[in-house]
Amino acid sequence: MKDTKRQFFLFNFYDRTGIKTRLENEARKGWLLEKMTGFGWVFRRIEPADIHYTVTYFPGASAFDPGPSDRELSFREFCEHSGWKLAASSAQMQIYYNESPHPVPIETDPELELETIHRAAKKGYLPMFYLFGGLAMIQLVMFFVRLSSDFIGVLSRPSNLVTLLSWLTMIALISGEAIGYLSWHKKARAAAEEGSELPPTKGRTAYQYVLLAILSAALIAMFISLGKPGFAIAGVVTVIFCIALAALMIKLSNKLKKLNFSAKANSLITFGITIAMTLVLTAVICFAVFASIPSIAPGYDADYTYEYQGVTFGVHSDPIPMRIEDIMDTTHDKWSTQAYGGSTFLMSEYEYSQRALMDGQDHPSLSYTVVDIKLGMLYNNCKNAMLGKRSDWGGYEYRTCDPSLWGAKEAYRLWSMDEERDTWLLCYDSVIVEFSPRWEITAEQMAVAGGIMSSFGR
Amino acid sequence: MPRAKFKTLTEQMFYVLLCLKKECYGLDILDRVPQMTEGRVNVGSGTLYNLLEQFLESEMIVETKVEGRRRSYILTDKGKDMLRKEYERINAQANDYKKIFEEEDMSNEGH
Repeated sequence: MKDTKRQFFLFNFYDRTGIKTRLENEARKGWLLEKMTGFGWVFRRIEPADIHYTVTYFPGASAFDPGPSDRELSFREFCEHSGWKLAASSAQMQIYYNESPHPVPIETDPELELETIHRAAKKGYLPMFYLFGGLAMIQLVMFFVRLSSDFIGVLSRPSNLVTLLSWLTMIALISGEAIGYLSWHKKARAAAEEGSELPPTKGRTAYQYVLLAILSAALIAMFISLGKPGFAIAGVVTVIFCIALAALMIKLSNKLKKLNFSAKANSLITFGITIAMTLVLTAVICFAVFASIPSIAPGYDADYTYEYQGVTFGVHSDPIPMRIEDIMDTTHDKWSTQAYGGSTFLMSEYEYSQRALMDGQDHPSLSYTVVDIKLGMLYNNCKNAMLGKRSDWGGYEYRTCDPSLWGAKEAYRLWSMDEERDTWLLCYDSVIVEFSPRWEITAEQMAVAGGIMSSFGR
Repeated sequence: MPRAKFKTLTEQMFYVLLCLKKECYGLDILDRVPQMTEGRVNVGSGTLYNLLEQFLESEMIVETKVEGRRRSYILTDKGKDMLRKEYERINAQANDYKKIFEEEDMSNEGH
């Protein structure tokens, strides 16, 4: 039979009542809290007993202290004198237990008690919440800036939505914690001013678990939707790296505490190394992302490569929904086809291309982008984004043209310097296609292509 | 309305200061207050620790001896003055109480 056990659970830092109740229940089952670590709370086996717990906060303590300060030790002595023994502590939070049946509480003056709790919160938890909350808000603003410049690209990639969800979850978690504490503090202040006991706290761990479950589900869904195993592995590696980084941070900080580094030096070294490691991870991810974009790395993911006039070209055979052979008669059979894009529950965007190999340059080529809008209300936003994208280039604009030739609801043709270009924007029921054939397309071919494109997304 | 700091004293503040009329170890106050009040008033260890810090900060007490982590304290003139004001306030309250109830008793006797 094991004499120790480790429990992982979420808790709200301010939830003194919830923590106390949980620990008293554990004592009745024969488990006494021994340690609070970054890897869970450790309990020691004891004879089942009715033990009183109390959660207090010592504002002068820090998570990076090499050991308790003289003031902290003196506080412990005061508590021990009244029968309260320290079970465990983590930063400012200190948990004491008392085996007497009716102990005098550690705090007997509600106003003073609240003042101490709030001082500890202002020194430890609240600044962290504001820091991470601010960081999450900056990320959110950056997301909307990106959305305004690449509406479809952002909303059609699962990784973007999961990133958004992650930051929103973080904001929700932090707000939940901060609002929970501040609303309790408001009630507690009113009680303390009347000289009454501080009201019990109410934890919101169910809320935390739900948010984490949503985030985990979104992460798993994203890995599955990435399709290419390499991307999924990169995603899993990123998550593992983040967990390992958190573990390393805790281990490093503990080691520095044992080596008697001051709290300031410890926090500087720990945060410095964490930031450096995060930058390395970001650089690795950026490198992996850039290397995986076909336009940047032509040979990436190619079936085979060939040399033409001293330049290496990749040949791909991605399946594409409409081929040149579907629109026109051709005997050529040396093609490279590529598909690139992403899909979310809001919309999908795929860029397709079919190009003749370089020794067959006289043959036509085709490229088109298909945007399938799954949430109807976003249709006009997508259309405007696609129309606007070309005008951003300067000198280019889409002008309306006859949609009936394409069997479309609306059709636009690209113009530049008052000249027509061979690019059309064609709007169907739930699909918008930017179609660029590199040959002079006939009305008959337009009708054939339109027939195929009108069936996209069905 | 929150109580202005040390404008008036709570019962616990009053007894902690009272204990420090004579030099006394901080820890001993935890036992002295219930003895002094026959168990009517208890001061929690955390509350006492914080009160001593605040009394020191506002110069109502001074440290007299430091032996390791054991520290003893004694009231300053400011602290004595504070205690006296509180005593007078409590007395005034008690006198007001007496006046009201004695008047009532006297008028009851008159009838």
